[in-house]
Amino acid sequence: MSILSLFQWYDHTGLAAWMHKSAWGFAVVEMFHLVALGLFGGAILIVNLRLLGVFLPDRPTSQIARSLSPLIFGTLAILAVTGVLMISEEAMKCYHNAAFRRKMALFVPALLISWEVHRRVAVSPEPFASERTAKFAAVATLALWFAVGVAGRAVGYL
Amino acid sequence: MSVSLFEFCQWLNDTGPATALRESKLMFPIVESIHTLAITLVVGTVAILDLRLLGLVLKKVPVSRVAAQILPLTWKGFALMAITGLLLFYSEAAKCYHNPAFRLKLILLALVGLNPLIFHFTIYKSVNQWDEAPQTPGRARLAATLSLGLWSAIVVAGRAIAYFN
Repeated sequence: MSILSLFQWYDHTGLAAWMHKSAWGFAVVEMFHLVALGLFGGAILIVNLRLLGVFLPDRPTSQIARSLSPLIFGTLAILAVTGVLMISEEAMKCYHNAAFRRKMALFVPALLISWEVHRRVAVSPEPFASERTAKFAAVATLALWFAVGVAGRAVGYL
Repeated sequence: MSVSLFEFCQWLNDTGPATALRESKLMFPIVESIHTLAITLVVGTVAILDLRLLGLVLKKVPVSRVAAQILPLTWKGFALMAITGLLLFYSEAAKCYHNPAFRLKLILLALVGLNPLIFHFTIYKSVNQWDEAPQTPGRARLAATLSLGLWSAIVVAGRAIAYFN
């Protein structure tokens, strides 16, 4: 099954038909997406600012990462579900939208790097070979998620 | 001769820079994108403090330390929000005047400003007594819940402005 046929199938589901008909369906889902974006972005920012030595430098990174894990994973789940729901309203538009494609291309590495960094800092007292590696990982994570956000906003402009 | 609020908005709306920003295919989306993504800096950071007050995150860190570390970030984000928000309003002032979502957002912003003021001058004065407690007093938890609810409503109202245009 190609990606194109997946989007074509999604565009013809009952869910897509309902979202097309509904006056407020898309708007309500998008508002949940935005509030979750705020919470997810804030939590990711805090964990990575800890890695950079800016936020609570006297506390172990593992303690902060573990404490914020439920918030990060909970809001990520809301973002994923609402994101998939929003696609249903405009699946073919998304498929052809340059910003949407870029967002997905950035989302995959952002998620993978975040996941790996989070896994390491949550379990290990010395998650990185050096301070520099830790800082590089934090900056890369923040830059990638920021780019995902910018591309996400741009979906509506194109 | 008195000038109505609407006439003032219309005048703002029609000034040269406002028209240039409104019609710019590049600048308007850039300002709007900064305004949108700064949600993470304002709502995202203040939510960490609210969730700490509710005893849901960073339970081992004293409330006053979380506040001292978080609030400078929140304020920076808020400055960014205010500057970009004022620019967006300036460029579409006449439209905003009639927009119900914009009006609601202004009321919510006033309330969300009042909430930490009351919190700071009442229950927070006794923070020394419950600084390290995972469970904070009821009034502190009420303030945190109001903050989370109001900020979420502000995000929703802000997004809704475009649906009413």
